[in-house]
Amino acid sequence: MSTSAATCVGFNKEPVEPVRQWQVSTREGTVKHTPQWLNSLLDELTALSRLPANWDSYGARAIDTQAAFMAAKFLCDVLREDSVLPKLVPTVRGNIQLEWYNGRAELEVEIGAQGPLTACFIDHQSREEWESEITADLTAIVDKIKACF
Amino acid sequence: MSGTAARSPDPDDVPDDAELWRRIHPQHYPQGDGRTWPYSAAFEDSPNGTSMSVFIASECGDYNLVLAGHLGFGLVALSALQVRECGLEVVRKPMEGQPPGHAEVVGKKTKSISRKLAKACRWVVR
Repeated sequence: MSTSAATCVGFNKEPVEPVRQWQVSTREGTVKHTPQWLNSLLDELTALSRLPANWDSYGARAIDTQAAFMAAKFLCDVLREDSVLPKLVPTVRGNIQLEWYNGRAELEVEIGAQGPLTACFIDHQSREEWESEITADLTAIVDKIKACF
Repeated sequence: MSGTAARSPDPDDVPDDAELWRRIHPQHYPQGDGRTWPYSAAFEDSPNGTSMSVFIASECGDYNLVLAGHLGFGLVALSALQVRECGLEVVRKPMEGQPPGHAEVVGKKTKSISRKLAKACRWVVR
C-alpha cells in the first residue's frame, strides 16, 4: 500500500490542507480510498471544535481549530489503514489529547496548534514508563503506536 | 511513591483523610476502551492561572451543590493523602459564589501526575 496527498474536507468550515489518502494497487489498477477511521476522526474533531470556552466549568479554552487540524494531520501520518482510532480528548488549554489504551499499554499525546507537544507512555508488562516533550523526531511515538496499539 | 516522602506542608492543614470532590465534564469520561477512570486531562490547572479546583467534602456537605448548574457533569473523590502522594498540596481557597469548602490542588501537574490522580480517584456521580 502506498500513500499520496489528496484534498480532504476538514472538520472546520473549509477544505483543509492535503492529508494522506490511501492508494491501493490491485490487479485491476490503483484504487484511492480513505481509511475507515477518517470519518470518525473528522466527526469527533468537529464535535470538539464546537465546545464553547469554559466547557469544563473551570475556565477551559475553546478547542483551537489549528490544534484539531494538527491532530488530524498527525493521525493521518502515523496510523495504518486498519488502526484503531485513539480517543480524542479536549484539554483545558484548547489542545487535543490523543489516548491509546488497551490494558497492556497506555499512550497519551497532546497536540497543540504547532503540532505534538508532549507524550506519556506506560507499558504495564515491561514496566517501561516515560514522559517527554516532543521534538521534531516522532520516531519513539510512532514506534510505540505500531508496536502496542 | 511514598506518601511520607512526598508530603509537603500545606498552608492549611487539610487532614490526609479529607475527601476532595471535583466535577468531571462528560468529555473526560472513559469512552468504552476498558478503562473506568476519567481521562488525565480532567486533572489540570485552569488556563487562567488558578490551580486545580476541588471541594473539601466535609465542609461542602452536599455534592449536589458542586454539580448545581452543571447538567451532565460527573463527580469524583480523592483523598488529600492521595493528592499529597503525588507531591501536590491542598490549599483552602474560599470563593464567593461557590459552595463552601472550595480549595485548590497546588503544584506542577505533569501528564504522569495527572494520570495518577485520574487512576486514584473514585466516581461519586457519573
